[in-house]
Amino acid sequence: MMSANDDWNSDWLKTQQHFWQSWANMAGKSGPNVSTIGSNPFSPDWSQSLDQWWRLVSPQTSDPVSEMFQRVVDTGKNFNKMAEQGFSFGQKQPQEDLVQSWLENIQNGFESWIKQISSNKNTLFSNNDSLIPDWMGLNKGALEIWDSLANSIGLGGVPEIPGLDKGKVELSRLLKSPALGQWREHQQQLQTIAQLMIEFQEADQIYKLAFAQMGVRSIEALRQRLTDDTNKGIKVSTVREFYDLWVDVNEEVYSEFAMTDEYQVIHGDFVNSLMALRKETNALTEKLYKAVNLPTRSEINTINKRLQEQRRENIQLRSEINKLAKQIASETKKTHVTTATVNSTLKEHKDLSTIKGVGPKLVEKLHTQGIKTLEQIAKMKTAELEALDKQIGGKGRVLRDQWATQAKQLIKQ
Amino acid sequence: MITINPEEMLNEATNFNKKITEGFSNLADVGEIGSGVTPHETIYEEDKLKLYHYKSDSSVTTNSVPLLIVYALVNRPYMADIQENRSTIKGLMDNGQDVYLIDWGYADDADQYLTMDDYINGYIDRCVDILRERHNVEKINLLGICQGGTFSLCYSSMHPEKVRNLVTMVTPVDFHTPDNMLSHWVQNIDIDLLVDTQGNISGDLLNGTFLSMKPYELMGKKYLGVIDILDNPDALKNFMRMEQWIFDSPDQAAETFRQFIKDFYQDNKLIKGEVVIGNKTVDLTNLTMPILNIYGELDHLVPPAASTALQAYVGSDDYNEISFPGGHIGIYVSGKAQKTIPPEIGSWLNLR
Repeated sequence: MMSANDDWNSDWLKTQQHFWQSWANMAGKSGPNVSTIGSNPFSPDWSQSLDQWWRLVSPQTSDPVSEMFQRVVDTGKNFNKMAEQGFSFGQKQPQEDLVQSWLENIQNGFESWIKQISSNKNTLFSNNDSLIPDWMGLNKGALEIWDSLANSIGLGGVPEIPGLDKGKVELSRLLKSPALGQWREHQQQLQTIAQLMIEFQEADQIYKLAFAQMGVRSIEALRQRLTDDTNKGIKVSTVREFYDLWVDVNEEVYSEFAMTDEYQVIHGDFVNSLMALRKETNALTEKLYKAVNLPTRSEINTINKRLQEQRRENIQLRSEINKLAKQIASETKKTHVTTATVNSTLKEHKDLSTIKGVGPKLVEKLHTQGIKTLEQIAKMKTAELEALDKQIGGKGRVLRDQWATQAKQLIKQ
Repeated sequence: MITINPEEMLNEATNFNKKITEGFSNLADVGEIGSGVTPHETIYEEDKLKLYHYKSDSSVTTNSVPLLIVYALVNRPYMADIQENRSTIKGLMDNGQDVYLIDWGYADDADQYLTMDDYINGYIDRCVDILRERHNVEKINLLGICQGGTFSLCYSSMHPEKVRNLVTMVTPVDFHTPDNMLSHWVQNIDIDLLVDTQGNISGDLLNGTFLSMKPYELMGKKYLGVIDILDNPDALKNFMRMEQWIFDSPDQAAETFRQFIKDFYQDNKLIKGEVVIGNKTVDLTNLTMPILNIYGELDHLVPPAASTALQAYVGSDDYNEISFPGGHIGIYVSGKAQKTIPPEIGSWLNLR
């Protein structure tokens, strides 16, 4: 065994040397002394090495690459920590006990977490979920989203309230002291915030507890899966395979949990209590802003809301104006058409040759007599028509050919 | 049975770190990652909205009716045009469509009073009118994606005279199917309190919520997978493109989020015919135009049952479905989807 260990040691040093050299090249800087880093294979620091390397190279990368690779490195660190644990256990005991120790360690982590939460030591606004090994950080995925919201939405900016430590609500002074005098309203608001903080703290505790309990269930499920796989002859021979198995089992346990009525309630309560708290702290902050004559979010919202209403109205008006403009344009067109029709009608009616038997010569004669339109003829009575016939030398054709009737019909056409 | 011995662990961990550190240099070879590959021009702009027209490089356009793609307000529309050989938009063009797309841009706090009425009866309707005029047609073809699909259903129900054919992709219709995780999660959330307090709903929160549907897979395992492709610049570039897309998530306008979650997710009013947008009621029986409903069999965001419910509520007697053996995103970007989905949509539209 000793010689095997020695061989490892030398291999280990070689690979470590290669590893540090490669990242030192990458970073374009001289690497740390290989004799001081990673020199002890019995207490591996794979995760830490990766972290140190990343700190050196990350400033050289562009944003999107850096952001993506940050996630790769974080996952890699978790993976390494998982390997480190397994490795440490593997040094101390026979192979067959390794997995049990591994699983027990995870389980202990969750159970301590449960104890911590239950004993209310899990205070707000501090990341003291440290009893959970970091590599199990992936367990906290769903929690982190709202946690980061809780931290980023300004709860950290809660004004210093006498008697109210962040995360530790001192009920005695805040809630029991009488609210009097000019600060009465302010005092009441602080009391409301304290009350909301307690409610959020409770919801947060219940939410985290549920996740920790889910963690314990996932260990049971993993044990079961390992037994099943062993029976099926499926082997897990790398850390990576173990990690993948762990992810699969967790995903199953989680998706079942996330679809329960219990989850729906605790998730909703958590979000609602967080929002209620934030709403009230916002109101308090606004009050302070007003006191120093600074604009507030509410005021900007009022402006935005009015602006949007006005824009809607503008769009509506513009569309109505467009409609009207089109309508007017089409009306104008119609008028033009009517005028044109009238004009063209008059023009046609000036063509006296449309009367049967009227040729160019007669038209000329009619023009000489001042007869220029069919209308003039249409209006004529018998006596007038007879007179016209004589004036143009029509030899009776004006009456015989019924010029007036013809003219009337032609106008109508 | 676990058969890992410490020596193997040592090798594995060392190789693992080596792979990461050496593979890191390949990131430099990835080069510029664009957002959208098919050339297009902006033919209309209003506020943050841009209406794109995709330029065809050949004379393949056979359909004289323009196709307008309405994307979700979640994430960015270049997912439908993510890379040269994986572009749904390009695929649609190659299959005879004259493609337009609404890019909603990034809503900010000044946009928080944008309502669903503003989006649907405002923005979408104006874009539709522009295309009707531009192409001198009474009706256009509409293709809605995810939330954009739900918007398209609402639009087509309120303005059926302007829609010739309606295509919906991974579109939620019945929000209360038992396998709908997102819906399950929001039932006990006081949306008014959330929106009144938060204003716009941040893209990070939305994105985090989507990721937390499969947290171990999407926030962990996936990144170990990257380590295996660090020596493959092409695969790495594809991964980076998707990664950029996933984390490129605009905020959702407060008032639109309020109505969308309350009326659709919480109260399931769309299928009950009770959604009121502006002064109009959304009645799905008004959808008498031909409908093509496409869904992913493995979609965990919009489960198949949430989409296929549509058939029972529409008034169309020309209702068609395409099911794809993939997920919410795979339906646009997977190689398999590229070969089948755009051609099927194209030929379906060309026949109508």
